[in-house]
Amino acid sequence: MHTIVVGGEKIGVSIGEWLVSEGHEIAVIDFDKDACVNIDEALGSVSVFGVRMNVNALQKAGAERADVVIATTTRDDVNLAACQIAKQMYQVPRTISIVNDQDNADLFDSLGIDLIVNLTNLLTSQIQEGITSNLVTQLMPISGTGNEKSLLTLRVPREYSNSALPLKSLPISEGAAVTLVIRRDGTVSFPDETIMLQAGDEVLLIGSDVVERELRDFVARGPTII
Amino acid sequence: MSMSQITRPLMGPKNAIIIGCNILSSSLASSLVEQGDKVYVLDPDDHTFDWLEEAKVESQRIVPIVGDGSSRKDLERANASDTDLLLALSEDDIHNALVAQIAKHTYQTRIVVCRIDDRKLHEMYTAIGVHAINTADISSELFLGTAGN
Repeated sequence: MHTIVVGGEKIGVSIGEWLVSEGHEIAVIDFDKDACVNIDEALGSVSVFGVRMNVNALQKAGAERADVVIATTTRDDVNLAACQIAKQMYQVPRTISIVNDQDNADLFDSLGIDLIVNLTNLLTSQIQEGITSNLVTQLMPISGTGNEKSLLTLRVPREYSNSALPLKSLPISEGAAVTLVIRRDGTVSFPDETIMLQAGDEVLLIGSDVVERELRDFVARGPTII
Repeated sequence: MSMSQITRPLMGPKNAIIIGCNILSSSLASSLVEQGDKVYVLDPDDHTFDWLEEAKVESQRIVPIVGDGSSRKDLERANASDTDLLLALSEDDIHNALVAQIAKHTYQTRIVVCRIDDRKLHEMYTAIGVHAINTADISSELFLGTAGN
């Protein structure tokens, strides 16, 4: 597999390291001569210096035999152009791009980039996860569904240590689905009607923003005393 | 300079946006104003606004805005949702290409033309339906034509 990474900053080099360890042949394009020296020190002689993002830069990196192009720069115009040149001029089967400005995520998607990594979203959801009071978090958006769903996780709060929470009592409205239950001891169960959740269990599910809000309200209310 | 090839609405106010401020932008901005447009010119560097025709800036027919043409926030300051003509004319081909595609997809701007001076990029973007003009090729043809006669 030949993979081209565009941008040799921290993220690009880190992806490059992983690709090399997986046995990929790689080329890393950067537009700064000093960055190219760093890339070669970190990854072996794989850097390709480009004066700017254009057809020649991808050509020099071996685009005609590339299986994947991964655009990792902090500039969305560079990332978009890299993926569009790869697709249009070299029929590269898979293009992956970081999106720096959230507003560009939809655009990149509609322009046919195969996988979009929305940095701002990723960081926000990871920070949300770190804030313990936030028990429902988005793990990743599910693209191509047309109605904006995400993979969500719900952590069953401490309040449920004395009273179990039936899985079927969760407010899962139409179009949403529980995919997996991860017990606090790390064992995994597929969802079924009989599951009683306990504090520290985690539920993975797919649902919309509305489902996310409903779940958040539900866990915020705590155990109901009958 | 004649701009008759661009068909604009006959009624109502017309807004145009030009991304990147340079001699070409300035000349186009003035022509558009003479045809009745209000023209917003976006550039991250306010020194570039020296290019613009002073009288038209003073009468607010040309509105310079310090901003990034690929930022929705800055585009909206330039009235992007109420614009039917956007010209991306900066010296940076791929920036122009991004802005042009934002205008088409996000704002459904009716007429979007961008400047792409790299011949291979120009060919590629034309092939995927981005209306692009290679100003370098056009001027070199003019020079060669003049030199040949």
